[in-house]
Amino acid sequence: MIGLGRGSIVNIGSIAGVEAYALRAPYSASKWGLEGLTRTLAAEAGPHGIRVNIVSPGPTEGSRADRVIAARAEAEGRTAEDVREELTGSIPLRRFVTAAEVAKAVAFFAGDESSGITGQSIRVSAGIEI
Amino acid sequence: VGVAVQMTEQLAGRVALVSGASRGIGRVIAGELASRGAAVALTARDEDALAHVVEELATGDGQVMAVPGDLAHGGVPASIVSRVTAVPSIKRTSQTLNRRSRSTWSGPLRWRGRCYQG
Repeated sequence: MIGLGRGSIVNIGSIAGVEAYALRAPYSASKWGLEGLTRTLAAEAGPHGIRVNIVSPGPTEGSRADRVIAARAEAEGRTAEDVREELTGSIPLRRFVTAAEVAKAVAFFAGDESSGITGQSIRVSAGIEI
Repeated sequence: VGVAVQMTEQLAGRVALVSGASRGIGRVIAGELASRGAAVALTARDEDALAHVVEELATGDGQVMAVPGDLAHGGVPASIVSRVTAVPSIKRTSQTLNRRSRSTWSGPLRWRGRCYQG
Protein backbone atom coordinates (compact mmCIF):
# COMPACT_ATOMS: atom_id res chain seq x y z
CA MET A 1 0.00 0.00 0.00
CA ILE A 2 2.83 2.36 0.80
CA GLY A 3 4.34 1.58 -2.59
CA LEU A 4 1.05 2.34 -4.32
CA GLY A 5 0.59 5.49 -2.29
CA ARG A 6 -2.95 4.54 -1.47
CA GLY A 7 -5.02 1.96 0.32
CA SER A 8 -7.79 1.39 2.80
CA ILE A 9 -7.62 -0.79 5.89
CA VAL A 10 -10.93 -1.68 7.50
CA ASN A 11 -10.80 -3.29 10.91
CA ILE A 12 -13.74 -5.17 12.38
CA GLY A 13 -14.41 -4.08 15.94
CA SER A 14 -17.45 -4.65 18.06
CA ILE A 15 -19.85 -2.82 20.28
CA ALA A 16 -17.75 -4.55 22.99
CA GLY A 17 -15.09 -2.01 22.00
CA VAL A 18 -17.50 0.89 22.43
CA GLU A 19 -19.11 0.13 25.78
CA ALA A 20 -18.81 -2.36 28.62
CA TYR A 21 -19.36 -6.05 27.89
CA ALA A 22 -19.73 -7.79 31.24
CA LEU A 23 -18.01 -11.18 31.68
CA ARG A 24 -16.16 -10.81 28.38
CA ALA A 25 -13.10 -8.87 29.54
CA PRO A 26 -10.53 -10.33 27.11
CA TYR A 27 -12.83 -9.80 24.14
CA SER A 28 -13.70 -6.30 25.29
CA ALA A 29 -10.04 -5.43 25.82
CA SER A 30 -9.13 -6.64 22.34
CA LYS A 31 -11.91 -4.67 20.67
CA TRP A 32 -11.23 -1.47 22.62
CA GLY A 33 -7.60 -1.96 21.66
CA LEU A 34 -8.59 -2.27 18.03
CA GLU A 35 -10.32 1.11 18.22
CA GLY A 36 -7.05 2.63 19.45
CA LEU A 37 -4.98 0.73 16.91
CA THR A 38 -7.25 2.03 14.16
CA ARG A 39 -6.76 5.67 15.08
CA THR A 40 -3.02 5.30 15.68
CA LEU A 41 -2.50 3.49 12.38
CA ALA A 42 -4.62 6.14 10.66
CA ALA A 43 -2.24 8.80 11.97
CA GLU A 44 0.82 6.83 10.88
CA ALA A 45 -0.44 5.69 7.49
CA GLY A 46 -2.23 8.86 6.47
CA PRO A 47 0.88 10.51 5.00
CA HIS A 48 1.17 7.51 2.66
CA GLY A 49 -2.35 7.99 1.35
CA ILE A 50 -3.62 5.03 3.33
CA ARG A 51 -6.85 5.30 5.29
CA VAL A 52 -7.65 3.19 8.35
CA ASN A 53 -11.16 2.89 9.73
CA ILE A 54 -13.16 0.46 11.82
CA VAL A 55 -16.63 -1.05 11.54
CA SER A 56 -18.03 -2.10 14.91
CA PRO A 57 -21.02 -4.43 14.68
CA GLY A 58 -23.57 -5.00 17.38
CA PRO A 59 -25.24 -8.40 17.78
CA THR A 60 -25.30 -9.92 14.32
CA GLU A 61 -27.63 -12.58 12.94
CA GLY A 62 -25.92 -15.87 12.26
CA SER A 63 -24.95 -19.18 13.76
CA ARG A 64 -23.08 -17.57 16.65
CA ALA A 65 -26.10 -15.52 17.69
CA ASP A 66 -28.26 -18.63 17.42
CA ARG A 67 -25.87 -20.58 19.64
CA VAL A 68 -25.75 -17.85 22.26
CA ILE A 69 -29.53 -17.60 22.34
CA ALA A 70 -29.96 -21.38 22.49
CA ALA A 71 -27.43 -21.73 25.31
CA ARG A 72 -29.06 -19.02 27.34
CA ALA A 73 -32.53 -20.43 26.74
CA GLU A 74 -31.40 -23.84 27.92
CA ALA A 75 -29.61 -22.44 30.98
CA GLU A 76 -32.65 -20.47 32.01
CA GLY A 77 -35.31 -22.97 31.02
CA ARG A 78 -36.89 -20.63 28.50
CA THR A 79 -37.66 -20.78 24.83
CA ALA A 80 -35.23 -19.36 22.30
CA GLU A 81 -37.96 -17.04 21.04
CA ASP A 82 -38.40 -15.66 24.53
CA VAL A 83 -34.68 -14.96 24.93
CA ARG A 84 -34.51 -13.40 21.49
CA GLU A 85 -37.42 -11.09 22.23
CA GLU A 86 -35.80 -9.98 25.45
CA LEU A 87 -32.50 -9.28 23.73
CA THR A 88 -33.98 -7.37 20.82
CA GLY A 89 -36.54 -5.56 22.97
CA SER A 90 -34.01 -2.98 24.17
CA ILE A 91 -32.46 -2.37 20.73
CA PRO A 92 -33.88 0.73 19.01
CA LEU A 93 -34.46 -1.10 15.71
CA ARG A 94 -35.82 -4.10 17.68
CA ARG A 95 -33.56 -6.55 15.90
CA PHE A 96 -30.01 -7.71 15.38
CA VAL A 97 -28.07 -6.49 12.34
CA THR A 98 -27.21 -8.75 9.43
CA ALA A 99 -23.76 -9.62 8.13
CA ALA A 100 -24.81 -7.99 4.84
CA GLU A 101 -25.38 -4.70 6.65
CA VAL A 102 -21.93 -4.91 8.21
CA ALA A 103 -20.43 -5.70 4.81
CA LYS A 104 -21.98 -2.59 3.27
CA ALA A 105 -20.24 -0.39 5.83
CA VAL A 106 -16.96 -2.18 5.09
CA ALA A 107 -17.44 -1.60 1.37
CA PHE A 108 -18.09 2.08 2.08
CA PHE A 109 -14.77 2.40 3.90
CA ALA A 110 -12.97 0.31 1.29
CA GLY A 111 -14.05 2.45 -1.64
CA ASP A 112 -13.69 6.04 -2.81
CA GLU A 113 -17.02 7.15 -1.35
CA SER A 114 -15.16 7.51 1.96
CA SER A 115 -12.05 9.09 0.42
CA GLY A 116 -11.90 11.85 3.00
CA ILE A 117 -12.54 9.67 6.02
CA THR A 118 -9.86 8.09 8.19
CA GLY A 119 -9.49 7.06 11.83
CA GLN A 120 -13.26 6.78 12.17
CA SER A 121 -15.63 4.17 13.53
CA ILE A 122 -19.02 3.22 12.14
CA ARG A 123 -21.21 1.25 14.50
CA VAL A 124 -23.52 -1.10 12.64
CA SER A 125 -25.55 -1.99 15.68
CA ALA A 126 -29.25 -1.28 15.16
CA GLY A 127 -28.60 1.37 17.78
CA ILE A 128 -28.00 -0.97 20.72
CA GLU A 129 -25.31 1.24 22.29
CA ILE A 130 -26.91 4.65 21.92
CA VAL B 1 -29.50 2.19 -14.14
CA GLY B 2 -26.43 4.39 -14.35
CA VAL B 3 -26.24 4.57 -10.61
CA ALA B 4 -26.64 0.83 -10.28
CA VAL B 5 -23.80 0.15 -12.67
CA GLN B 6 -21.59 2.58 -10.85
CA MET B 7 -22.47 0.93 -7.56
CA THR B 8 -21.58 -2.54 -8.71
CA GLU B 9 -18.27 -1.48 -10.20
CA GLN B 10 -17.14 1.01 -7.61
CA LEU B 11 -14.29 -1.29 -6.54
CA ALA B 12 -13.29 -2.41 -10.04
CA GLY B 13 -9.54 -2.57 -10.38
CA ARG B 14 -9.04 -2.78 -6.63
CA VAL B 15 -7.63 -5.70 -4.71
CA ALA B 16 -9.09 -6.61 -1.34
CA LEU B 17 -7.67 -9.02 1.23
CA VAL B 18 -10.32 -10.25 3.68
CA SER B 19 -9.33 -12.15 6.82
CA GLY B 20 -11.72 -14.47 8.63
CA ALA B 21 -13.36 -14.98 5.27
CA SER B 22 -14.37 -18.63 5.57
CA ARG B 23 -17.54 -17.93 7.54
CA GLY B 24 -19.79 -15.43 9.25
CA ILE B 25 -19.33 -11.72 8.71
CA GLY B 26 -15.97 -12.10 6.94
CA ARG B 27 -17.50 -14.39 4.36
CA VAL B 28 -20.27 -11.90 3.61
CA ILE B 29 -17.78 -9.02 3.44
CA ALA B 30 -15.75 -10.93 0.84
CA GLY B 31 -18.89 -11.47 -1.23
CA GLU B 32 -19.92 -7.82 -0.96
CA LEU B 33 -16.51 -6.55 -2.10
CA ALA B 34 -16.46 -9.04 -4.97
CA SER B 35 -19.95 -7.98 -6.04
CA ARG B 36 -18.67 -4.40 -6.28
CA GLY B 37 -15.93 -5.44 -8.67
CA ALA B 38 -12.92 -5.91 -6.42
CA ALA B 39 -10.53 -8.81 -6.90
CA VAL B 40 -10.79 -10.48 -3.53
CA ALA B 41 -8.21 -12.63 -1.77
CA LEU B 42 -9.68 -14.56 1.14
CA THR B 43 -7.76 -15.83 4.12
CA ALA B 44 -8.75 -18.03 7.06
CA ARG B 45 -7.35 -20.97 8.97
CA ASP B 46 -9.84 -23.55 7.71
CA GLU B 47 -8.56 -24.39 4.26
CA ASP B 48 -11.52 -26.58 3.28
CA ALA B 49 -14.12 -24.04 4.36
CA LEU B 50 -12.21 -21.32 2.57
CA ALA B 51 -12.05 -23.32 -0.66
CA HIS B 52 -15.80 -23.80 -0.44
CA VAL B 53 -16.41 -20.06 -0.11
CA VAL B 54 -14.08 -19.26 -2.98
CA GLU B 55 -15.91 -21.75 -5.17
CA GLU B 56 -19.19 -20.15 -4.22
CA LEU B 57 -18.01 -16.61 -4.95
CA ALA B 58 -16.36 -17.70 -8.16
CA THR B 59 -19.77 -18.30 -9.69
CA GLY B 60 -20.22 -14.54 -9.95
CA ASP B 61 -18.32 -11.97 -11.95
CA GLY B 62 -15.60 -11.38 -9.44
CA GLN B 63 -12.04 -12.63 -9.31
CA VAL B 64 -11.35 -14.47 -6.09
CA MET B 65 -8.52 -16.47 -4.61
CA ALA B 66 -7.90 -18.43 -1.42
CA VAL B 67 -4.82 -17.76 0.68
CA PRO B 68 -5.26 -19.98 3.74
CA GLY B 69 -3.18 -19.44 6.84
CA ASP B 70 -3.17 -18.64 10.55
CA LEU B 71 -2.50 -14.94 11.05
CA ALA B 72 -1.45 -15.58 14.65
CA HIS B 73 1.66 -17.41 13.49
CA GLY B 74 4.77 -15.33 13.03
CA GLY B 75 5.56 -14.53 9.44
CA VAL B 76 2.21 -15.70 8.12
CA PRO B 77 0.63 -12.23 7.64
CA ALA B 78 3.61 -11.02 5.60
CA SER B 79 3.64 -14.28 3.67
CA ILE B 80 -0.05 -13.95 2.82
CA VAL B 81 0.36 -10.38 1.62
CA SER B 82 3.32 -11.33 -0.55
CA ARG B 83 1.41 -14.27 -2.00
CA VAL B 84 -1.45 -11.95 -2.92
CA THR B 85 0.73 -9.25 -4.42
CA ALA B 86 2.78 -11.86 -6.30
CA VAL B 87 -0.18 -12.82 -8.48
CA PRO B 88 0.65 -11.15 -11.74
CA SER B 89 -1.50 -8.24 -12.86
CA ILE B 90 -4.38 -9.13 -10.60
CA LYS B 91 -5.91 -5.73 -11.22
CA ARG B 92 -5.73 -5.94 -14.95
CA THR B 93 -7.12 -9.45 -15.12
CA SER B 94 -10.00 -8.59 -12.86
CA GLN B 95 -11.16 -5.82 -15.12
CA THR B 96 -10.62 -7.82 -18.27
CA LEU B 97 -12.36 -10.87 -16.91
CA ASN B 98 -15.26 -8.86 -15.66
CA ARG B 99 -15.93 -7.53 -19.10
CA ARG B 100 -15.41 -10.73 -20.99
CA SER B 101 -17.17 -13.05 -18.63
CA ARG B 102 -20.44 -11.28 -19.22
CA SER B 103 -20.51 -12.13 -22.86
CA THR B 104 -18.76 -15.45 -23.22
CA TRP B 105 -17.86 -17.36 -20.10
CA SER B 106 -20.35 -19.00 -17.87
CA GLY B 107 -18.05 -18.25 -15.01
CA PRO B 108 -17.43 -21.08 -12.60
CA LEU B 109 -15.04 -23.19 -14.63
CA ARG B 110 -13.03 -20.24 -15.70
CA TRP B 111 -12.87 -18.83 -12.23
CA ARG B 112 -11.91 -22.11 -10.69
CA GLY B 113 -8.95 -22.19 -13.00
CA ARG B 114 -7.94 -18.80 -11.78
CA CYS B 115 -8.27 -19.49 -8.12
CA TYR B 116 -4.95 -19.38 -6.40
CA GLN B 117 -4.37 -21.89 -3.65
CA GLY B 118 -1.52 -20.63 -1.51
